[in-house]
Amino acid sequence: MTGLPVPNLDNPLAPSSDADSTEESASPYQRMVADALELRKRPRTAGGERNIARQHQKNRMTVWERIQVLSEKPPTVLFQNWGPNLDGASLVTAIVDIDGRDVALYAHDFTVRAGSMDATNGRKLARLYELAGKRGIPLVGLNDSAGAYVPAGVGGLDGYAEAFTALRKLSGVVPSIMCMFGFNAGGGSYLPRQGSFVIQPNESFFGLTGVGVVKEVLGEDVTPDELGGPQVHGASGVADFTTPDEVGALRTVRRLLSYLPGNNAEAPPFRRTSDPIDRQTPEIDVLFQRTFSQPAGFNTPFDIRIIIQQICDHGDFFEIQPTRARNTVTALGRLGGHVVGFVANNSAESTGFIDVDSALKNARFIRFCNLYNIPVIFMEDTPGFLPGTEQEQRGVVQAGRAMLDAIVDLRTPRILLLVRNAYGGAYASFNNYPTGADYVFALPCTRVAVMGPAGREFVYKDQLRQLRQEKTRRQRELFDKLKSTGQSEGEASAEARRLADQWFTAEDNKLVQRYEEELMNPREGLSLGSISQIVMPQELRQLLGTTIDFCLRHYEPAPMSGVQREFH
Amino acid sequence: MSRYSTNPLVFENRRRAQGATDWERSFACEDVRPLLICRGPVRKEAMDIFRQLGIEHYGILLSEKDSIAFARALAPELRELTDQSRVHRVPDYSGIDQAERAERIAQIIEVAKAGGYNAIFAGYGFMAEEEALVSAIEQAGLTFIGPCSRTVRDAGRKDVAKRTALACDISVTPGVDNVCALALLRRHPTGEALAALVSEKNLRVDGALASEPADAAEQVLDASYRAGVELVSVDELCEEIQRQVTQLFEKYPDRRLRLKAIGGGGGKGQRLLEGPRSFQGGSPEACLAQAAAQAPEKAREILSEVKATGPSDNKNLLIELNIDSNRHQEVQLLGNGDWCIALGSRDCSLQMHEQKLLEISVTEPSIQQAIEKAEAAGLAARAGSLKEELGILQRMEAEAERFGAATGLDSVSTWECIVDGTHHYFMEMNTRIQVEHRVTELCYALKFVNPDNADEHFTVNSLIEAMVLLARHGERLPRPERVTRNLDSIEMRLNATNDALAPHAGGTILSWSAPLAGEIRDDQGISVPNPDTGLFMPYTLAGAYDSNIALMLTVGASRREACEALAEVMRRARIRGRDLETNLEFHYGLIHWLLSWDVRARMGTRFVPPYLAAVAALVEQGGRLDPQRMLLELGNRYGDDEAGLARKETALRKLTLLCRPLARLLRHPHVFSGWLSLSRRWGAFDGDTWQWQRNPLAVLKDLYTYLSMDPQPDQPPAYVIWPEDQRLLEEGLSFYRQLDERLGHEAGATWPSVPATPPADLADLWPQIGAAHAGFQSGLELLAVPQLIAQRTGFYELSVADDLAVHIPDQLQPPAVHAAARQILAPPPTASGDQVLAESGGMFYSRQAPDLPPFVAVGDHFSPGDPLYVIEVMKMFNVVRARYGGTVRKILVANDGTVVKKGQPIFEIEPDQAEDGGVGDDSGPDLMAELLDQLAKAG
Repeated sequence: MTGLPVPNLDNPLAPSSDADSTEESASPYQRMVADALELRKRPRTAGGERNIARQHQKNRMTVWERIQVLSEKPPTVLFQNWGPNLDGASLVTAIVDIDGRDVALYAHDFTVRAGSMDATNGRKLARLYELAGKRGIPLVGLNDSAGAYVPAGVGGLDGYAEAFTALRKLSGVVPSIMCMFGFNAGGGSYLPRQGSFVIQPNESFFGLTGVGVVKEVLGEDVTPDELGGPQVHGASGVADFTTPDEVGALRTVRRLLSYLPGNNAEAPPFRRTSDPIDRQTPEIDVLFQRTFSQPAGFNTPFDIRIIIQQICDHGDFFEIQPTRARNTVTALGRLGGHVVGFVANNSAESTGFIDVDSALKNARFIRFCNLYNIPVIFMEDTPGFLPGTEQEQRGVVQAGRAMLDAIVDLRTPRILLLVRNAYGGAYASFNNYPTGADYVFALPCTRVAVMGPAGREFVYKDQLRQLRQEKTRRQRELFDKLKSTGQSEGEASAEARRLADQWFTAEDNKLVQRYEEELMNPREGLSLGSISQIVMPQELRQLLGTTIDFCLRHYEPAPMSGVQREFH
Repeated sequence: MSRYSTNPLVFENRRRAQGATDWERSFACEDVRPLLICRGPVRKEAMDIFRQLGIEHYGILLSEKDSIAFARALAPELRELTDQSRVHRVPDYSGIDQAERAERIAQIIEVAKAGGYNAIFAGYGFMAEEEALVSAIEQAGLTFIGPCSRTVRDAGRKDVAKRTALACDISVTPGVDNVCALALLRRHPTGEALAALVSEKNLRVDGALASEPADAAEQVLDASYRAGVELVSVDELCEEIQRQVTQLFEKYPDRRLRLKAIGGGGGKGQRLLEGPRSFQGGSPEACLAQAAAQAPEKAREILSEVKATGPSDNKNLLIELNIDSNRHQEVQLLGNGDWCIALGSRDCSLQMHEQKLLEISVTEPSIQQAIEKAEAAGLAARAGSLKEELGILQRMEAEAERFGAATGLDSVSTWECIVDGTHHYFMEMNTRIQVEHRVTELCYALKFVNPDNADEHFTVNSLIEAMVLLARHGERLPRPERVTRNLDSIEMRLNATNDALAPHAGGTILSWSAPLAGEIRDDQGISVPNPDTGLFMPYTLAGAYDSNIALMLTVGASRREACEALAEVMRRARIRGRDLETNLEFHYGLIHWLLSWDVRARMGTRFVPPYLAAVAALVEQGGRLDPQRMLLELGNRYGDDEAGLARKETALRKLTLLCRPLARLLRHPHVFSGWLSLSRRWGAFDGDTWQWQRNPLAVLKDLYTYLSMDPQPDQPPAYVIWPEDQRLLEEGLSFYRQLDERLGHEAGATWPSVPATPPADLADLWPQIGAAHAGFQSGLELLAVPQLIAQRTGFYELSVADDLAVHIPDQLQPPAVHAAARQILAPPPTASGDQVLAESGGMFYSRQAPDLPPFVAVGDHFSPGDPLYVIEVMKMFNVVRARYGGTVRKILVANDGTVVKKGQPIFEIEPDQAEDGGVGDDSGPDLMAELLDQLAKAG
């Protein structure tokens, strides 16, 4: 080779294309057809190679590639040439077929003006939402937007406002699932959180503002991941699911959809099951035997999901908000083919206390089931609401109230299964008959009582008073005796207190035991009609399955109606 | 799902009742009603085989760990077996001590009788070789689908088996097989003393006491186990073991010893003792003493592992010379009590932590073929080595058949050997079907011919099917002919382990790609979708059992083909999950190492640790490199004249095309290793530069294929090459194709394909061709980086010689290097200075055994290397040792047996001194600069 060539990527040996020659001979009609074909392609090519490559450099798929993971079939694109550039205005709206179901989809195209919102594509979104509402099909949003398109001025903000409003009107009409891809701030976060579920993969961000604003306003140095990564949102419940990557998020959409109805007038998809509804569940009996024969006896924690697994068809269930507030489990599963929601205290985590986070997690899930005709099985096993300053400061009174209100408002078939502990306020606010339960069943190890073991203070008030007096007397007597054997006053006093305390604790424990034996059981609940019947662990699937089936035979799926309540 | 349950290699109609002749139909098995009492992949396999045999009434046991111990770990077999009357609950499959085992055996018999079963199948579970179980089944009038109690008794106890083997003139290893008796004789050395002991303890000895004290001691011990009287304490036994070990080490100071429980199996109940030579410092006597001093602790570990700690447990151990350069081979046997036939062997040498990883068929026809090929190719050393191999196989098969006959084998068994050079030594016979039995059945079919009419015959393609046939019609079955189905087959064990091959519990499988054609996947049913919804069901590998997830097998018309098919299966397999780690990448890397050197390389059982060290060295060097930065830096070095800038521009156009696969290599050590093995023949080192002998652009395309990132329409776009990268790659390749065509070269045959001076007809285009060539090649220099790292670490020194011997370089030998490699491949959780964090998830124990004190208590000081606690992961008891010294301030895990998560704090400690920073990471940029210089030199 002579001289230094200037490298390029053009193949000089490629057969030359003679595309140009055809154009001259084309008729006006043919030119129009060609033009139309070009227009149809435009949204897919508008980003340009460079922007597509940039998206890929960030290890992110383009909007078209994401849609491909959701559905093998090509999408039906709506308003494909929206916007002054006829390029769809950085937003794809479409109807896609996901596993045989029609789904309304919107997806920001980050390769076109960074997926931003201009003056009109808020209306584009609103049109899609309206279509989804009218036809009663679920909505999926693939968010990847830098926010409002600044050159559009206030128009961009109006665009968001229009979308917010339309999406709010869709809320409760059809379920919606939002994936958070890329980097979304401001309206780009606000809008999707109006959806029913938010899914966030690793290496993505969303938040009220980006890190730049935080630095500017507060001087805080923080990474996007620390500010609005999946760890942050998964823990707060702002993201319902976190996944390792974009593909995982899209697959979660498909799995979640398999449990959801198209709209609020339908029942969720029924799947005939090969798992017999009368399958016995002796494993639950063994689980209790194993658990309660541990040294901690009835105070031994266990994973409530094992019972959910035993109940569900083929043991399959799907947890909602699985990484947050694990002291409560919210899950969707199928029982006799019907989709059922589970709201279950989980003693394996923090003894199953109800705190602010678990109350809000429950409330949100119950309200969702209520809107979309999903029956709910509550499983109660909790020592109660978690007391303390931290909880009060965080507003546990209102959070607990939100859960209780959601329960009171619940109109779908609802069953309470008393598993073990159910006391006081927690019992009162957890789907009992007065709050509207259709059925209350109790396992033999149910311990319903007005209070936990602390209740002995009231029940055995007199005995305890006597014991305390006796303790003081003993302490004094011991002190005198010890002092007389030559011990110093300090020593004698300490020793006397220790021995007296020891005696008192032993006596008090006897009362605790007596209280547990006499009062912490299902008897009173049964006698007062607070419990319909006892269910043996072996019969749990059968009883719950036939009951749900009965309830649903006499339940007409329909949108909710009635007055709006304050607070939720 | 179609391929999962329709692969013709393992799915067929096996109903003899539908056979062609009366004779064949007389072997129907529909009336067998088996109860399956094991778990693991064999349970699903057996369920499938039973159904194919037309057996409808089969049942399974279901343990608590398979149902209620963990969420999402429900036995997948239940998705297909929904008839609850055939699922029988038990606490576990084998019981944790002898008393529980006896209870479980009684329970199994009861379940079988009440459930209308007439046969028991035990797979390869712990119970399969339990003589008490087999006898109880026989006495209950049930059929045991497996060897009879006599075979189990004569072959099952390793000490008895060794004596039988000696009697049959079978080659065995030197060692001590009666240490328990020796310990007893230490205190009661004579016949009189033993007789006195018998009367003192009121023992009932079978027959009269033998005159030879050693024999008498055995009788007395047997009687004591029956009576539940402890004659030899564990302490005494350990003392004796130490004494015997000392004597053996005196004789063989260069060797290692192996301690084996007589009732062990499947890698359990075995420990290696390092020889005196591996202890440094001090006189030979001191080293010997140190080597022998390991024995008691290891012996205790073994006894608690096989749960032989009670007074009625036989605690005898075998002490044997370990054949260090050994390979592990095992002959598959099949018999009906009259005849016994060997079905070739399996090479199971590739192991880690005494667990097999890869199992390869060894059969006469395959070796014959390989010998012919080697001779035809003039590879004398290879042919010679293969002939040795054939000789060993033939001797092993003959001895195995003798042994099988001597023990009355009336089902299947595995006759295990170690092979050292041209010698083989019999180790033990496992009287059960083994995990790797498919390797054999894929190579040999069994052709049964009517002895009265040679035209009537049928063929059996499954060993489990053969077991059922033998159990039902054993005495009527004629000796079969073995018929070659496939010349070769290979099995890999997919385990839940990290890159250092240590167990990793607690992960959840969320998706698993469908099997390829020709892939056999024995996965316990994990891939069976939810029957109602067709969706994959998440499955948690809770760690309640061993780490095995699945077995994956392929076949081929040569060993190479079988390995290539397995490599392809692994390439396309996508298993994704939460907190999930598997050894899939390890296997993928290793199969390429084998394919690259020689699939018949004689890998010994000690191959894996040095191999891991070689792999770890790669990431230690290359793991910190950032390909994107390197490409930018490379571009900057092109100069800022027009040509230089254009070259940089064209290089940066390849940013994702080049850097995505390279980054993947650098982040995944085993994938890196496999790539080196695959690509090492595509170029050569010239000093410290690497010269490709193929077009680097074609190499890049192959890299994408190797990483399974080639365009695949059914895969998510994020997992394969980006479309614009694919276009650029294809444009480049088509340029070179067209150039080759114009130059009259065979496509891709020569490199570089651009001659220095143009042929006449291309003179006009030559400047443009030069520009395109420079453009397409710019940046591809980076593809040499893996090779340069391999050169720096001496990766290619781990090699295979012409005679198939594996060369392990000295730098990969020391145990300290292996330990360091584990740290590099699977870095432990980073601790804050004052806490000791759990190295892995699992069950925590503060002590070696329940009757021993905890390793450390509050206030204790520990030094680096001191044992701190035991973590049980997937049935492996790992003693965790201190990395640095300190004092225990608080123990944060209250009880033994508590389940801990990886990274969970275990102790609060006061470290002896702050750790210094260690080796700095500042070598990164220097390394990058050096590599770039090397790349520049290559031109």
